[in-house]
Amino acid sequence: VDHDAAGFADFYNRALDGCFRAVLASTGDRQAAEDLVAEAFTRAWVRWRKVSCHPNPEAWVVRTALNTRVAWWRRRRREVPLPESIPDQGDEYGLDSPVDRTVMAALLHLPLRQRQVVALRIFLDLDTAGTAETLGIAPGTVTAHLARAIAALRKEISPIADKEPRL
Amino acid sequence: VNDDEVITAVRESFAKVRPDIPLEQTVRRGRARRARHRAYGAACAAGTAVLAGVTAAAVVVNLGGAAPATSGTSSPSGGNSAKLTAWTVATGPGGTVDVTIRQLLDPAGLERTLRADGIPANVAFQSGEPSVSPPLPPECQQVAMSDEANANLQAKILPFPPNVGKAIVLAIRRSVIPEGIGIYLAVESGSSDTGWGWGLDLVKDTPACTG
Repeated sequence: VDHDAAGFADFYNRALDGCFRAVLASTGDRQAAEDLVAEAFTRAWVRWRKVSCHPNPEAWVVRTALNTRVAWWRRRRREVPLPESIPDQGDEYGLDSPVDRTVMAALLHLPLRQRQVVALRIFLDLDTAGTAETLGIAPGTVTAHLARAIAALRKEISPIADKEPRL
Repeated sequence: VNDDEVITAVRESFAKVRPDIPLEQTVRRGRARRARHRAYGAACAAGTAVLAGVTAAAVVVNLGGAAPATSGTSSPSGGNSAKLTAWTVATGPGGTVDVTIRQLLDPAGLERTLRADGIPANVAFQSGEPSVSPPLPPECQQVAMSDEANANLQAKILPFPPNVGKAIVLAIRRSVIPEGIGIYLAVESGSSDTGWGWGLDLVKDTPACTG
């Protein structure tokens, strides 16, 4: 049991930020992303012996979070923290700069599946096969979604990059 | 800007974003859920309603701590509002009905008050987390519409409220609830000491479910 607990803690500390960012990029809603990731990690803890043997536990967590979001669509839910545990969350996404918010807005302009592919590739470093397996789609579809998504993001991000001072 | 630069820009935009989900909270929720699964399994094996009894006994939770617990008896304060120490319902401009819940007491009274204010509602107070709350009561049925339309309509009826800490504050827009549709509002005591929660379902407006 101690071994399991230590293993889960290691995994949690290593994977939490990346999983959260992937889900945030997919949903565009910081509070929802925190709720979903908390729920997914709770389920991972309950099934840790099984999840720890998964080829990519991070992908399991993100897939669980995204599937949970679909299930929650029909039942709006919000868990409200007690006042002392409410963090300072900055803007609605928890992002700092206008550039960051522009990137978030550009992500949200993408169709949902393209956004999910981008999130898994960028924040979990999943390859095409891993992304395809996680989302339950064909590898060729992943490649097509990624190409379209990058092209769309480039159009919106390029004007920002052009305005940044060059050294 | 090449592909790698686009990917780097997106990655760096999120570099400072971190969730506030302590490991201890996740482990505590996991333990509670595992214990509940075991209790449920034991209750099923024994053929009893032990779990229902545990749930009913655990429902009375003081959310605010400051508001004193009294009874679930309504004491109208005049006009078109009704007040309780546990919760308050007040109608505002534009057909908005503001609900403030401080204690999980007297769901039937809240349900009656909402219906009197023109909202076809079914209300439940229960223990547990929003994510593991029980399914709809048997007298209620989901409305027939796509998941996306359902989510969009819910967002119009009840936008996610800000966190106010000492109470659950909900602003229900009565005027956007279509004919034939009601709401099932479940308020949960939440996960241990970290907070509480609520859930909303759109249901068919029938006498058995929403009055």
